Amino acid sequence: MPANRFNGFTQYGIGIGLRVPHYAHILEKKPVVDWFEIISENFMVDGGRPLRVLDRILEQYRVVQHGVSMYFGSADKPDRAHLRKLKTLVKRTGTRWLSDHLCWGSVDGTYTHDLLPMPYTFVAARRTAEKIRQVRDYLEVPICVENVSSYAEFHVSEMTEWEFLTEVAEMADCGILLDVNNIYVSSRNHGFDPYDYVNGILPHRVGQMHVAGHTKFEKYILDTHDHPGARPGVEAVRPRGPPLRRDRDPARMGRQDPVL
Amino acid sequence: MRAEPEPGASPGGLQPPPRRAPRRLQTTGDLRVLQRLMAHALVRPLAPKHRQPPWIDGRPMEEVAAEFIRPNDRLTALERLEIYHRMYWFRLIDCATDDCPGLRSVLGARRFERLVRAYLAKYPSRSFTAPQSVLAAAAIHRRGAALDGAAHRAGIRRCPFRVGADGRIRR
Repeated sequence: MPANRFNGFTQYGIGIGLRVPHYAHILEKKPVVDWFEIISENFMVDGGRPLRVLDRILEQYRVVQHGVSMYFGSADKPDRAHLRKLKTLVKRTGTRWLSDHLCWGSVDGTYTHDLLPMPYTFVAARRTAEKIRQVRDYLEVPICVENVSSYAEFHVSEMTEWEFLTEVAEMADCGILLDVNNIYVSSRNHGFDPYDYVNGILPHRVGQMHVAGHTKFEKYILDTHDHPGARPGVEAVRPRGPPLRRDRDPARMGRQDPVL
Repeated sequence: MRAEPEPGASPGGLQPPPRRAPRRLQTTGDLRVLQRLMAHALVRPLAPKHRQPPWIDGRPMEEVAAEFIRPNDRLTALERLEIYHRMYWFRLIDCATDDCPGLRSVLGARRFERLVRAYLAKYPSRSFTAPQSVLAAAAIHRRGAALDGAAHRAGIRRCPFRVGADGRIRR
């Protein structure tokens, strides 16, 4: 599983989420890091500091793109202006694969800027898979879809989240970015066994994993990326080994140094 | 003033919500209707806890949320929906705070937040990047816009609001 067609047959090892507070440290100290994961939308601009920093990082590091607003699960068609900008960035970074979330977040061209949970139905799975195929065909890079953490479920759902994820990945013939913290957060919020989720995933489709932390509230758990990864989640996937990104957001932790 | 909508977006913006949530998803149209219903619930203005204003058709918000969100043993349907509702507003207000320090310093924190809330309540975000939406909100105040360079970056042409000498927001 380390190298497969969903991660461009690469063996990148462990990466770090690139965030603004990291910039100065990376450019000055040049730490040894296997690769950086960037948020695509932060660099889908015409110029300025973000692209200057990105170009300097690309001179020395491998970069993989991760998106937050493609909204594969939205009923709307893919936004063509968004896709054009994304393709320009793909050519710039040379990313070997690209990921975004299995969620929706916009309707009628109005954006919520959130990763909203899907209704787990066959109709939604078909629509989502169709959009993933369209985006992949246009961008010409493999795509991995990431499971999100969620705090609500819909009455209309017809299957579990992991069945839905599998259904989408099979129909789209795409990869999975397995976020083990999101599995743990959702398992606590919805009362399922996180190991059922992990065991329900097709290992050969996992192209990448995310590990991050969360915050516990009285009645639910929120995915805040500001604590170490949950032990149950990390333990569940330890034997498997696709590229991994560890993410503790220094902006939220008040830290200035990258964390590995 | 607002940024131009992204090409491909529905020119009319968020369409009216359905009268009732779909009971089953049989078509992509049903999926769109469900998403439209939830989007309306998220972009409506924040209200103090336990003082949720009624839904567009006058029904209690608890009843509307229960129609499409499943409760669990700890949270009601409305409480689960409210997690997303709060995150929508806090995220955009945080974004405005980060991106528009000039405007915030001119108005002060309280008036700044009121301004951002008023703008976004009337004009929900039409851009896939949150900063573009909040920059458009910031640019409604000329001094703040000049400080932040927001008007230029957001392509502002027209101002839908103004802030009076008393700090109140007016059309």
